[in-house]
Amino acid sequence: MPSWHVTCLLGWHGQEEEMYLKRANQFDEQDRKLIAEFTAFMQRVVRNAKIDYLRQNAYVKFEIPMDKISEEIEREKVVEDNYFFEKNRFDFEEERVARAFEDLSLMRQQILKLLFIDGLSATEIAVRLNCSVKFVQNQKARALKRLRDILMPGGDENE
Amino acid sequence: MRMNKQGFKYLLERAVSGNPDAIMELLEMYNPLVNNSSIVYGYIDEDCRQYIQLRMIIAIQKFKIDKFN
Repeated sequence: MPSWHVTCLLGWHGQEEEMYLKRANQFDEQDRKLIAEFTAFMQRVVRNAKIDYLRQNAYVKFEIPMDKISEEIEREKVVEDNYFFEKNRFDFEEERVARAFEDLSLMRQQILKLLFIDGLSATEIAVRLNCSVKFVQNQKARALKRLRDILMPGGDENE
Repeated sequence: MRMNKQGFKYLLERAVSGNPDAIMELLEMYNPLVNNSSIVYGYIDEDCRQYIQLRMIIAIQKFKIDKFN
């Protein structure tokens, strides 16, 4: 039982285990304690440093380098880019509507386009944008309210 | 490991007192830990690696080695 326990703990077998024991015996007892203490200290430092780094760069580092993308994904991406480019050229009948629309945030613009131009349901949009259905509904309501506020400042009576 | 003759304690003492060679040697020792921790979204993030190493250099000099005398 003890030997099995030790093998499990170390995870080394045969020659590697011997090498490890040889190397470990080079240090005296105090040195080994020091190494253990210092390693634990370093692990804490590294973990905290990584958390800090991720906090600082949470929104910047959300991209994959171009050379890592395989050709297929790249081809799909080109098609999708063109798709959105064409959709972006949608002409509004009235210029002030277009200007009010550009005033919205990009996310709300995209949600409105997908809802009314492409005719998708809120559930489909939630899957596509990787967010909840409630978020889509909220954003839609707020975007429409904002458009209403911009286009009809005094309420419906003005129209 | 190069510190065999004088032991880990000697190396650490030099590093804590600010010897660049000793700090470099310690950083090399803990390179695997740094590499493993600097993986972001599946790839080693070079910025993250360097940030962690910087923090390590600062932290090494704050290590309380007096406790082990």
